Amino acid sequence: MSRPALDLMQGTLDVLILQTLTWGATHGYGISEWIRERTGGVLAVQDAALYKALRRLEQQGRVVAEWGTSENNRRARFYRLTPAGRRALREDAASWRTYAEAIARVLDAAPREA
Amino acid sequence: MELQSDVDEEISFHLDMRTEALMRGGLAEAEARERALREFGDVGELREALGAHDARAQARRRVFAWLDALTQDLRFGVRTLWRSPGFTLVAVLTVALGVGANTALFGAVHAVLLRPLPYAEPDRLVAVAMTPETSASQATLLFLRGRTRTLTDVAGYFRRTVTFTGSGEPEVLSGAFASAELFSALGVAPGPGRALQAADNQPGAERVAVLGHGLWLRRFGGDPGVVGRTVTLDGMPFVVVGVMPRGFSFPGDDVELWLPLRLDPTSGDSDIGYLTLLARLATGTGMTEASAELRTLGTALRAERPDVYPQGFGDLSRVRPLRDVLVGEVGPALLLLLGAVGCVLLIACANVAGLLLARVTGRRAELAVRAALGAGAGRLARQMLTESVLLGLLGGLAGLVLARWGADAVGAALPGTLPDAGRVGLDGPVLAFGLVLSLGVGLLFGLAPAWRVARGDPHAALRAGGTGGLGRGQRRLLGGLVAGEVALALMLMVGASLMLQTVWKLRRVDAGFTTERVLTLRVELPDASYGDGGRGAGFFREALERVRALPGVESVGAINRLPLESANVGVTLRIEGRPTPLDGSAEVDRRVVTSDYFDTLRVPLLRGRVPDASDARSEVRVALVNEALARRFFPGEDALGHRVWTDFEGEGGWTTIVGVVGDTRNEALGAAPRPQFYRPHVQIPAIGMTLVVRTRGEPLGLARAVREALWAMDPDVPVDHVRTLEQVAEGSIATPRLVLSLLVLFALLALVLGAVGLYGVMSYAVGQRTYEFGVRLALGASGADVLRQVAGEGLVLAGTGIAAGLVLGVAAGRVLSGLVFGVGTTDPLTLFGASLVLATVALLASLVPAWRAARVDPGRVLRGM
Repeated sequence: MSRPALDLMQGTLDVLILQTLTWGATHGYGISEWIRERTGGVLAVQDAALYKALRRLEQQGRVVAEWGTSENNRRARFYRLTPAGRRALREDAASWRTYAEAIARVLDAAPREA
Repeated sequence: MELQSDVDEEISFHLDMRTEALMRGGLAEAEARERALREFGDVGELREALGAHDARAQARRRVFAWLDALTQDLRFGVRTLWRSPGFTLVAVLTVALGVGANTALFGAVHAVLLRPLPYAEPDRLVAVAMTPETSASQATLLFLRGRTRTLTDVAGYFRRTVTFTGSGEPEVLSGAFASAELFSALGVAPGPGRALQAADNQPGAERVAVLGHGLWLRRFGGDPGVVGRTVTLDGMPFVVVGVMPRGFSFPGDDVELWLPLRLDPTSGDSDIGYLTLLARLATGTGMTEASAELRTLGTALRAERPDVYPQGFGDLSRVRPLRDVLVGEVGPALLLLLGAVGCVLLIACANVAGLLLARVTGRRAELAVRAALGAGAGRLARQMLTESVLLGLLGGLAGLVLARWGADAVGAALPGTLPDAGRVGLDGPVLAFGLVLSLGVGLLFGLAPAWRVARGDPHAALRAGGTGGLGRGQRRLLGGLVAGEVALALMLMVGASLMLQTVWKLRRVDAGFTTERVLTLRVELPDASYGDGGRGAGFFREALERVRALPGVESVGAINRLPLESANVGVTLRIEGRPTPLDGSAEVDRRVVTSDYFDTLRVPLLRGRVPDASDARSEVRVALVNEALARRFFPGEDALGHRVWTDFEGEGGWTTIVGVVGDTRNEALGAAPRPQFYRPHVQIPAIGMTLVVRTRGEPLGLARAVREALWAMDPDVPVDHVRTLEQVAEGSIATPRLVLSLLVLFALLALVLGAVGLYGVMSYAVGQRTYEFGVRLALGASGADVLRQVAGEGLVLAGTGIAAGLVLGVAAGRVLSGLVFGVGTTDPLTLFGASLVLATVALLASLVPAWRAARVDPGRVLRGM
């Protein structure tokens, strides 16, 4: 049963990354911080997995990477959302909402018998 | 590696940032770093994963970039070619001719020489010969079969025509009489039914036949029920035991019937060979070992039967690839032609290379602009190469269209007796050859211009305003290309001229008989109804009388084996009162003739008489000999009255020579007459004879009347091979004619291409030197001076080529020596004639540009217009 869960996690991570990048191009650390702050630490994202996901998204043409200078003047790899990435985010977000609502409905249903 | 350090930098940036953030949150540095690492996960694994990923991504990007540049180059190349349609047309046409001719000929070479024979493990199949000739006797076959350890499935066969009668029109088929091992050696099994088996070869066994697929479809509608049915062959009943699968042919495409050879172990006392032997190399043995074993076996055989086998029998034994024997003289002829057509391609390449080289100069301005815009020399050279490869491929594609027709034509010109050669066409390997060839020539003729662009300084051209000519090095290269073309063209001209003279001489050689107005027809009487000697003799006697009585017939005779068509059958001539040498020097050719044969073919009777009907009843066996025989065996005395004996077909017995006739070239037009022994048909009533009919008018016009006269006597008699004697003679020189026709075609192509090349280079040079001519004319040189100068330069180029070509021409003569007849291979007149033709063409090709140079207007040139 670990496989579907992993797939789910992967999809989740991709959506989170793409969503983060709608706020503007940033480096891997930036994305990691952003997710940590927004989810209040609920989703413990391993940074290694984040970088793998970034490469995958890069290959799919959803993000592009280029070297730039960070806020503290260090060389850093910045990721930027592409139009294709934006499109993918719209679709994935929609299906995520549907999915989450469906789960929520199941969980909210009152038990008939104790 | 840079990619890996980038990955490291990205990871350490992350860890540093996180550590700092945690320290800002109040953690000590060590603790903060430890936590950052924990949150991160497996750093080492990620490092490797990302490094590998980035490397893959970069490789992908490089390929895309390369493809992108290629597309750009191709697009640009197409546009460039499109903008100069004249140049493109000439270049594409040149390549098309070269590649087309080469591909078509390669199609034939592939079908005849390269494609594996359609038998199992064809590279282990060998032809076996104990003597320099390919033929062997039954006794040799049986001996080898029993003794050899290096060979398996030793089989023998000979070709013979067989008459098929019964249902429908009588038909003469090409057949092969074979021992059963033939089928196991070739590793083929029949479709319906079985192949021949050893019991079929026993004397007295039931007569059986194996049909070819084509024959089966044609005469039996592909009915599998034919197995077990009886068919009539040569008038005798044969039981069909099997049908060979589609596409099987052996020893040639024309053979459609396989009949069992009768192998009689008791008839081992003859060294007369009529069998071709083949076998399969045993596992683990090679040709050298097999040949060595054969030599030992030959000595053993000779030791066992010293009375039959000559001294040194087997010394020249050898095995050869089976294909060599099946293909015969056509193989070397095809390779020779492939070499010739390769020269045409080289000339075509040199031509296009010259055109391209000249064009580079014309495109200096364009190249300079591209260089100024940032294209490196390498990139420009690549552009040049792309264009030439594009030209090569375009030309190659057009060439493949030409090759389609060419292959058909070459295929039709090949003799039908080759195995599996019927399918000369553009199949996979041949198409691949054509494509690789066009790619190759594209690269080849693109090298010079690409090299020039890569080395040249394009900026200099831009500064010079886009003008300027070739440097000395390039001019020399261009001159060298043209001289090379002339040399190759001359070589082909010499070859073609030698073959032209050969065929001309062969057609005019005195064969000892006249071929004009003679109709020939093959009549094979069915053995069953005419096998009894008297009846066959009676049929032919009456047939000749009836044909002679036809209007338009001058005279008629018959011979069992027509000159120039059937191979000699060597028999050993023993002379009464003399020892018989057994080394083959007493071998003579034996044929059976009717009394009017010599008159009809205008062969003179030199001494004695021609046997006539009165000899039929005589107890005295009589024979005629030709002058060559009389000279060889009876020098300084009269051959008449001598008694001789031959052992052919158990016909032994003393025969008296009663006449001497003139020599005829029976074997080949190019071969000197051999000793010939003629027996009268009245004494040897052969049932297969070829009628020779001398007519008053066009011979073929009488064919119908002659056939009907014969069929009026017996409607079941097959009358076949209806041709004029001239056609027979032409057919006998098919190989030299094949070589001639293609070589002439190639030489003409070479000549035209060479002339175009010379013209192109001279025109270009004149165009480049307009200023020089203008100055010279302004300084008082006359137009004639300039004309002489330019034409002279052309002739110097051509002369260099001709000098080199003469050397090549002598070499070409050597290569052709096996085919050439009646002319020396280094015939000075031929060399001189071919040089003269080339010099004339070269002069003509230089005159137009020279004339243009002489008409330069000095005023305009000097004013800088």
